[in-house]
Amino acid sequence: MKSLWTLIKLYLNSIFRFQVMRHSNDPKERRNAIMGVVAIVLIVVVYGGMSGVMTFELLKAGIPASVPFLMAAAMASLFALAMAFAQGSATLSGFSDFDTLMGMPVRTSTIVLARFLALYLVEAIYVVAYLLPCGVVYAVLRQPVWWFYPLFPIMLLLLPVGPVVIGSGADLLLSAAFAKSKYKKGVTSAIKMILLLGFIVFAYLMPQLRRQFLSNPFEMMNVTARIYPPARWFSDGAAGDLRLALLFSGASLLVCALFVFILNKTFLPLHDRLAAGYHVKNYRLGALKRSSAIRALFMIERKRFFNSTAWVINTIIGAVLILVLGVAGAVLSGRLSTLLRMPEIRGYAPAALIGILIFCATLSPTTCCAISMEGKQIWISKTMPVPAKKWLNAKLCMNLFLVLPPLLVTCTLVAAFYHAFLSPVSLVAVFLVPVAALLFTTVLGLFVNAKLPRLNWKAETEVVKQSGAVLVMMLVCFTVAAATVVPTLLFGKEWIAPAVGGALLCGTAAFYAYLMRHAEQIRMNL
Amino acid sequence: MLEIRDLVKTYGNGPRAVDGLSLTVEAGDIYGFIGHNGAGKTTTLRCVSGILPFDSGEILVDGIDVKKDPMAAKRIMRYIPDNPDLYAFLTGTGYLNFLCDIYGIDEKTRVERIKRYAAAFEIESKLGDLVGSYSHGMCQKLALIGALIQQPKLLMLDEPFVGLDPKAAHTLKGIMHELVEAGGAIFFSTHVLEVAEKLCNKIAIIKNGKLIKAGPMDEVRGDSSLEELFLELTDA
Repeated sequence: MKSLWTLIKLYLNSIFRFQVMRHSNDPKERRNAIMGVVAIVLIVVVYGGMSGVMTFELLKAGIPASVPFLMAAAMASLFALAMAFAQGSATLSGFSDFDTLMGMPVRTSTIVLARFLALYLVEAIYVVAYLLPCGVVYAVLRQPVWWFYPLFPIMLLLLPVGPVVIGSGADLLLSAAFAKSKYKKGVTSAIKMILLLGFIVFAYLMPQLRRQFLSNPFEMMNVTARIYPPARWFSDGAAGDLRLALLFSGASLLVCALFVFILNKTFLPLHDRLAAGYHVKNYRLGALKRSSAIRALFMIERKRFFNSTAWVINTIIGAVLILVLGVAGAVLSGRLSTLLRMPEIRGYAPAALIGILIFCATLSPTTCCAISMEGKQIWISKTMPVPAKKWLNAKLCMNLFLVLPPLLVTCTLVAAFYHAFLSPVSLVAVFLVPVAALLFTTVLGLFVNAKLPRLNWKAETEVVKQSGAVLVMMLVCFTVAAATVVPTLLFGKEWIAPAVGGALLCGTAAFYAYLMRHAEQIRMNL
Repeated sequence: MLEIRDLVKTYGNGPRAVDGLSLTVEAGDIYGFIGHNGAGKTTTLRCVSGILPFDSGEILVDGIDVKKDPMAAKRIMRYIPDNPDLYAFLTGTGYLNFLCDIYGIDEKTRVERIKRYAAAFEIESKLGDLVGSYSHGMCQKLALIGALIQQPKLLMLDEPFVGLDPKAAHTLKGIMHELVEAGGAIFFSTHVLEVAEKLCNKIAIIKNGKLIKAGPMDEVRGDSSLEELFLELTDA
């Protein structure tokens, strides 16, 4: 038990960097660690506030308590599933302390359990933050039965167990299956993307489900409950059904115990398989192609990106969603046009379209961890006889390469299929504002990462998911999307969006100029 | 080839990691740099290679100031850290080809040089594998090949023999001699005093960031062995 707690503390320290915060002599490193935790706290507050307000509104409107609980549980479970799927294998098998730990008198089961709990605890923070306000609002407004108070916190802590087991288990299996392939990272990233998108499409775009959702939103709750029954057990249990509350708690504990048992039995062979590399037999060096330094740097950025499953999953979803939205918008243009002709909706259509495009385009720029992802290989970049401007530009190009083409395609599709609803000013805004927001967040992401770099990491998920720069940019990107759409919706002036677009372009120019002027200093100080 | 004048480097608010260090490495030198752990060897090498900024002093590589014109200095020198972390997502060939692109080496020359050095270090058949699957020694060999294909005027190595098998270590010594005979210079840190004694024509000893002895090996060593001198100076 003592070793288990020691290992959990070690892993949590590695993720949240408590020791760095307390003991580092480098003020910059300490500031970065503190910023990371501050950003997590901010996200927790924002998410918690959103779910609390949603629950309050629904309960005030007389909706049964199980509905907001189910919505929140489904959202939180989906989030935990996606996160565990994206980083499960890296956390469960990716720490570089395998040899050290296996050489110590610590049981394999302890190591397995510690790694699982480290993964679970990180997801649990977000899940609890999202669900706890629902419970508080429910307790205040509906005065639940006495056992709600001791049982709800336990159920809350158990909610992420199922998604974490399913997500990390699937990730481990996938990684093991492609462990010996040269393109294992690329293949696993692609499969993960397809599975995640498939899940979204299955849940929301199937004709039958869509009809049910449009005709009766409550039916969608039933559909969600059918897809993932524990969410229903949780929501009904929290809303007063003791039998389902106990069923949910028992099932979660059982699933957790079973997963850790199986993982413990298969840990060593699994680690061996995952550690197996790709080998070429009878390799002979052939002709080599020459390219320019900037192209070589861009190719390195591209390869680094596509070889990091966590980075791909975290970032590419926005680019894919843009394209999916564009194609779906074109295919469903007839039906959606009917909807947009409704007088109460028509005035808001351009702002809503632009807002959705901005949200997807700025979901998670690759640049906000592009410097941190260099890690301990930073010495290569620092010793290269290449100006730091080119090095930074290659990182900017990577994000634009990923998001700009699908964004332009979708903007064109929107302009082509929905021009009847767009004035000339709005038509310009459909192209200008999302592109300006993309450029702004791309450049700002690199600026933030330059200010909050994290190079001393062991698992890439520490950078991609939990670093200060990424968390800060999550809030910034959300704010950019809101700052563009909300004033247009509030004041109804169509010039507001292009004006915000212009301001974003000015901001882009200012941050870009700063980066280029201080490029050498930024690289040298890393 | 390398001139360091009054180099001072401090990390944050800590003590001086390098304190007023001055030394000169001339063309044709194999210059050893020894000192206890934390003495400031790696910090000095990292300052010269442009990885670390330094507080004061001057570093000239073939007459080029590394602070004023870092690109020109980097074009003629190469540095390999003691534990070279390379791009794990590239194959060995991919990594070397990337470096050739950065240093602007033409297609024919890059293939010739890669083949030559890969054969010398016996890793030609492994160049198609991902760097992530390499052992520490193989990474060390690949990093050395990456430095040698550029044929730098100044080669700086931090503990280059750690992790190399005896044959590769022997090969590296031969290549080091070749490089200095062609007019280059080598400045390297090591804890293996026997190697330094046999390989280097000059030696510098650093303690707590300060240079305590430097010059031609025979002059510095005198009648005692390098080990005896090192212990005498560093224990004092």
